[in-house]
Amino acid sequence: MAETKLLGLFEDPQGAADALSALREEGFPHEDIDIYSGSPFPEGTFGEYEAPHRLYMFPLVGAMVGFAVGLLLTAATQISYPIVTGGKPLLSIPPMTVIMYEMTMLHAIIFTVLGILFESRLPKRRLGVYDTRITEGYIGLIVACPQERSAAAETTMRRLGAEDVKQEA
Amino acid sequence: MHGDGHHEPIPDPPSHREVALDALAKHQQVTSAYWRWVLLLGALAVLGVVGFVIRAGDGFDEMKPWGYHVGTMAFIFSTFTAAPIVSAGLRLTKAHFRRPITRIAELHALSGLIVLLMLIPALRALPTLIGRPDIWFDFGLGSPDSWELVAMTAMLLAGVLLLWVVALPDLAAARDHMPPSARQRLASTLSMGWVGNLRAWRVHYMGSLVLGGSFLLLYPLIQTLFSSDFHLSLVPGLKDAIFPATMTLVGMQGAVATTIVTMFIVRRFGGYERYIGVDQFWALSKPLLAFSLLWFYFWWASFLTFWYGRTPAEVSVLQLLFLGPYKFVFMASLILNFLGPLLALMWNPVRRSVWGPTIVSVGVLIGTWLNSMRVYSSAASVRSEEVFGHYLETVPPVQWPDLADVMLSVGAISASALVFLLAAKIVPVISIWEVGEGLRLVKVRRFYHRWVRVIAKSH
Repeated sequence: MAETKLLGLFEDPQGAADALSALREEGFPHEDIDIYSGSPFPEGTFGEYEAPHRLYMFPLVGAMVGFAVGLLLTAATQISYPIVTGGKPLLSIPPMTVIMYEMTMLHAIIFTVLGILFESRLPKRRLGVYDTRITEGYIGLIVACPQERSAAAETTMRRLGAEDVKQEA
Repeated sequence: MHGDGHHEPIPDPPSHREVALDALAKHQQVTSAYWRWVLLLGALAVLGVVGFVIRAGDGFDEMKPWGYHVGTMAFIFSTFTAAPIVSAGLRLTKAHFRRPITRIAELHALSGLIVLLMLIPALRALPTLIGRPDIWFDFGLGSPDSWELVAMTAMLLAGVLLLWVVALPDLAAARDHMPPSARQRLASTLSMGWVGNLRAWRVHYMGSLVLGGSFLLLYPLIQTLFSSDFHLSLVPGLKDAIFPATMTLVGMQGAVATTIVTMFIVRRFGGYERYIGVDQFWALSKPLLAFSLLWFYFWWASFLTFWYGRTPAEVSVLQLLFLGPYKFVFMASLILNFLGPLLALMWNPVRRSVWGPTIVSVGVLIGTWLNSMRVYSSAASVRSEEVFGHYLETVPPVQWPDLADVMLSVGAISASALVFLLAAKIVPVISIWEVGEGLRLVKVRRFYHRWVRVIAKSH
């Protein structure tokens, strides 16, 4: 069964929210419906399905990796090449703290950016069905559906105020 | 207000579409005045490189000739590079007024590249750590050079990635609306195919907070390393536990001042009066006043410790930094960083204007430059053989800048401004999506006899 994607363009967010509810009532599964917008809306504005993301894990894992690298680098080198100075402890904590902090932050930052790209599914080589009016403030309602149901989805979107409906080529 | 006690109605805000098209049209425009500034700043930056070459000709064996180089580096770090603190802080606290000015602050993150480049020769000129009281405790393993560079690289990354991630939706807007050109292709590449779906916006929100938070967490670390390696450890007998915190605060004050001055320039010469209004200047003048008061508090806490101690080592430190050869420089920065802002910004009409906070901020920036020179140049002027001692035996005279110092300082500051100017034509200088989001959250309502703006919370 051939799949397609439809984009309904709404100037008024209320129309997009109504169209999303109507599509859900007509049996389009929530995971096949998405919203494109030029600025963020508070969660739940459109009554949309909130797909969970795990971005919070990336900085956390990055920080732990960085801390471990910093600890290994500093402690292991001092233990491998022990030079006791004036009877002081072998591990010099103050400079180790600086280095471990640097490594923790550096890795947390790198992992966060990787996480942002992964969780946002970026980079995208093709924009797919899209309209430049979205970055002007229009709301794009995306529906992924079998080819034979696209006419029904289009009718619903137009009925509830879509100015334009585009179909993926 | 009318004579009958009724206030003027508040005009309806523009739509997202109007903002997007207007801001992108301004972004697209490259005037001849813009190119004149690019050429001027570029020429001054080249002059700075010549100044650096002359300075490098003196070699790296002595710290003394590098005092102004380090002072300039610290100045840029405490002003331009610190500016994203404003954006990250205001985004974390969800301040509504931030929307048109966050990008201005974030674009300054790129000046971290200038600091990183200046840090390499500065570290080369540092005397050996062995036998000198510092935070590295004869640690080895590339300290301090490698770890200062790693820390600065991490902060540069945090700032630049914050700028990029937050700007993704506006780069997509530039991709969509600019006519085909090299700039449009660059915007398209940098936008990475952003379409603004629900999941991406949620990730974008959290990611911008994490990166902003990382920037805020790294800034004090680097101020600590700079102040420890280039100031505290070079002046024997100088034991000031709160000095890194003082320099972090100086950076926060400098960040706000830099943002205000840039806001004024962008508003006045970039044609963004519609977006950057009195609200933004008024709101930022309050932390500026608070940081000016804290500037005095932190200085006073340090000064008083030495003043009451009065051991020979402490008297020498007081002479070197405050009461001796640099007393006029110190007095000037005391006036420009504390007294001036206090006396000006305590008045509501001054705070509630565009000119008031801008003039105070220019003063703060001059004061911060003088302060950086006093702090780092005086420390670098301590005789090499005294650096390893327990107290300062001879207070060195003022180290006046020579031609190479002036060229280097002017060139590096110009290069930081140039980087901003160039980047502002790649990334829109106004955060279109943030302004657009804000417009939806504001409604003008009648409230008994007047009109008020009601602002909704977005999260």
